[in-house]
Amino acid sequence: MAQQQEVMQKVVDILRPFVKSPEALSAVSMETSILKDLKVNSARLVDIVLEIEDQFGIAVSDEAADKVKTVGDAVSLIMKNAA
Amino acid sequence: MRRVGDDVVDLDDPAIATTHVNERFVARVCAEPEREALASAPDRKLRLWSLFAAKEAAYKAIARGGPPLPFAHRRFVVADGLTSVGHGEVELSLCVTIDGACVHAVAWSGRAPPLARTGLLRSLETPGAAARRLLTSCLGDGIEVVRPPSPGSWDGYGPPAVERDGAPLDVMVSLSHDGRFASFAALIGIMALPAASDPSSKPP
Repeated sequence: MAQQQEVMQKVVDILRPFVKSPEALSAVSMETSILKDLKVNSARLVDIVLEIEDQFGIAVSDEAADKVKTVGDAVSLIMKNAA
Repeated sequence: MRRVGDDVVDLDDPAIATTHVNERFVARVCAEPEREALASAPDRKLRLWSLFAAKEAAYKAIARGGPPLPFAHRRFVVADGLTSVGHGEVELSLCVTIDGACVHAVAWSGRAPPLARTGLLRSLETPGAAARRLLTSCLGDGIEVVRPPSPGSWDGYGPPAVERDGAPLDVMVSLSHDGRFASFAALIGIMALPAASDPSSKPP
């Protein structure tokens, strides 16, 4: 659980520069939708996937990237790849 | 099946100022032939975002009303002349226009091209409201754009549908917005045209 919290914090840090309204991150949770709630557009989502690859040293396939809709999806993807 | 999708990109968004030289972004978005063409394009930024918008438009068109479609930009292949875009066995016509500082891509099936517009957001106007305003300016007053609930979609709503005075119109519409711009593309059935444009309402 501690590791999940750590990964989630890193994901939030990755998201921060791509979110136009910083206050949107103040109530972020695993269920927060990256596109709908944080209003990140699809071009920025590509940037976020690249940043996740860089910071966690993992490769994210097209199929896996497409499944990332929420913060929790990103955390799960990272923990699954890092396992 | 009729299909239409559109996408607009604000070329002056600072967030995309140098994306066209990010090789990893390009590799993630573009198919191999597109990367080769992009490398020699006179305006790489414009070319990249034309390709990107084309793929987004095609995704919207193909995913609409069909089974869930995984979205991987590089699997949508745009013809060198930006006249068509394909995904698997589906091939759509494509029109990419530059209007001010935005690029607008429209992908559609069938022969007749959709009606399409781009425009700047007005002060305090939401992007969705701007897109609906553009559509109303072409279809006339009384137009409402509704989105029925669709629990499986990314935002909980299905594709937009158009009504006039509460009655559904034979219009398949795609709305988009990015930065300062909003846009739409619409395949319009003959019965949905405003009275002034209705061929059946000829002057005496």
